[in-house]
Amino acid sequence: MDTEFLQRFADALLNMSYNQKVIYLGVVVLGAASGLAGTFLLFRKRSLLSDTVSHATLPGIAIAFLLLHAAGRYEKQMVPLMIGAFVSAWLSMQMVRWIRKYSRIKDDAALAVTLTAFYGLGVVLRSVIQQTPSGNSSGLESYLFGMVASMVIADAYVIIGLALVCGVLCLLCFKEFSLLCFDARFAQTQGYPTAGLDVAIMTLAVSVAVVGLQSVGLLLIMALLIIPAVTARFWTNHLGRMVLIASGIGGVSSFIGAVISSVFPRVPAGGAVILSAGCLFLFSLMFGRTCGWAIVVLRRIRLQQRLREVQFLRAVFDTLEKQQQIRLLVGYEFDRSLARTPVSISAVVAKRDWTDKTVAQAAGRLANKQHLVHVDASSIQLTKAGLERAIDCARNHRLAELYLLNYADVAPQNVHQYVEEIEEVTTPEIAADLRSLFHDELAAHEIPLEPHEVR
Amino acid sequence: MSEDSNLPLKVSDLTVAYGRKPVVWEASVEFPSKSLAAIVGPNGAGKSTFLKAVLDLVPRTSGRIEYFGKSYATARSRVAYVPQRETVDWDYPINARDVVAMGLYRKIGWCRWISRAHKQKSLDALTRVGMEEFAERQISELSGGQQQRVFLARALVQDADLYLMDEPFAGVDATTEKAIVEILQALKRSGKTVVCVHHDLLTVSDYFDHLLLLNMRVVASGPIAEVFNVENLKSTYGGRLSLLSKFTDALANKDEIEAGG
Repeated sequence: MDTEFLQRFADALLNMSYNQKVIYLGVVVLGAASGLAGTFLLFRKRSLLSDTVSHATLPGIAIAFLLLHAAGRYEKQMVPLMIGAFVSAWLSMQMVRWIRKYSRIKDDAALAVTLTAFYGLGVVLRSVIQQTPSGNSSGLESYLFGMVASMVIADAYVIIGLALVCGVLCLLCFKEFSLLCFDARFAQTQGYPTAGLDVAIMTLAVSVAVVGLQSVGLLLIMALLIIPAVTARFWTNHLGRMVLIASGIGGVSSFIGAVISSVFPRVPAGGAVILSAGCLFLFSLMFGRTCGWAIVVLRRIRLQQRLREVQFLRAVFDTLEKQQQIRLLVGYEFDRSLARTPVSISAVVAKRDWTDKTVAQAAGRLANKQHLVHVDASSIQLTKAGLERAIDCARNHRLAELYLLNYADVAPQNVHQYVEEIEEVTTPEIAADLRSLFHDELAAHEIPLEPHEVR
Repeated sequence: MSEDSNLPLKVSDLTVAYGRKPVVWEASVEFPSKSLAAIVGPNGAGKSTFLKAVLDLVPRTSGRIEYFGKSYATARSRVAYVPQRETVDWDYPINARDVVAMGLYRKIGWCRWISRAHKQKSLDALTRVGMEEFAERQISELSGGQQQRVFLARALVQDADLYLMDEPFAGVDATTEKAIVEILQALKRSGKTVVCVHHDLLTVSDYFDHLLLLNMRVVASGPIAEVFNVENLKSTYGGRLSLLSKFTDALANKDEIEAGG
């Protein structure tokens, strides 16, 4: 069973005829072009427009079919149908622009009205076609869900040609498109024809949608335009790289989808392409470099661990300091040589509302970093490095408290709580600023005394 | 005519309406060369609309705008615009230096890439606003004040003669405000003209030397010493007394300090 399954995939990939290779190439290039156009569409905040224009291709296809039929041409011809699709999709795009410009109707409503109006017309015309003698074998169904298997080599050449035109246009106008997407108003003051650029970007999307009808189908082409773009956003903060990644994702998912649909002929290509793009999106949502969930969670966990270590070390330091203070009450200065004594873990626990497990984990991590050693089951001792880090943490904490007391008028009883809250955002730069601000205090005491009552 | 060509901005009889509601009415005003001018007025007085109409960003019902005696289309390269910070999406995938480079796109021209020299120019502009260390930083990671400075650098890189700014001090911290004022004063010293929409009456006389008081109509305009007085402010702000009393308090305080010193 398994080997047979793999055999079918291997056949699909390795034993391709020249024609099949060209068709696959066309599908991949289409995916790449839609990633490109989709990125600009996304930043023009026009994602939903792709849905409207793709649905609006239906009446154009139907009218072109009926015209061909009237002219006595009964076989399915791609180019005239695509021209029909392009014209009606482009008109729908202009209709959305007109409604937005000359009425008070908002964007979402304008898109909904246009989509339904065009698609409704398409549905009516389709029923007319189905009543004609050759209507049932018209092959119009393949435009709804996409059928790579029904593509011929001429279709692939058209797709590749159009995709190349889109790619070159994007390359030439990259900087202008980028400016329009970021700050259209500024582009206008610079004298750019913003309306023309806007139409260019949308025409790009319309072209991709029309070309994609064959392989993905009009119901799902929107996903191929938008999913690669939003997926790419998870991996980069640079528009140029984002366009490349989006094109790559579009190409790869189109290829996978086409292979699946040729191995399982009953699975429509459109669905398979979008499913594979969707999987890449989910993966990026979880593990994406810029803002994936896993990265965010991981960062939060690391931050909390670091915070716990700092708090643990401070608690140890406070305990040590207390011991010294009791011994020499006047002229107190913290003495490092007296600090290498064991501290009981219960003393640390008493300072914080932690469970035994949390304390044990924090101690374990510090031991791994060789900041402390376990003397016995209930007590620990700081190493030399650990002591220095503890002193550093305590100093930063007290300087922050001093700062809030002296400069922000925070009440002494609240100051400890405040510093705990901002501790996680205290960067080395802030710590350095604090040290230079309290230079005089630090000259008197290497570690300033606790500036408020200790509970 | 020769006199006009020295005048950075001359607005004659400007009227702007949204639908049937007029926002700016028959405004005629001139901004002299080498001035640091503020446009001041209450909320909804049409300050931003005035600026946008002057820049052809909103349609005018009537009015004539002249930059250095020429139309905006001709004089465009001598005019730089700093929009309000909130008008763009700061999540856009771009770094600070590339935003500044946008000010050079016109000079670079269509279908050409940004060269190393252009990048260096953008970096220099960022240095002028004290932001060179943030050049490679993704713009969403900048604070509000830093974003405003990036916008300012984008205007500086255009090397214009007239700078039009929409609320450059809105939502920035005190340090940034001080830094921006210093940049504006440096621009004035190098012979440029700056016009800012401003909303803080308390700082107007410290920062600016020329004033347009706007409340749909032009209430008064001219050098700050002549125009900035309680009468004019009263007719600009009308019934909004709370603000006015705050301001007169500040004036009184200032007088006391000056008398005391």
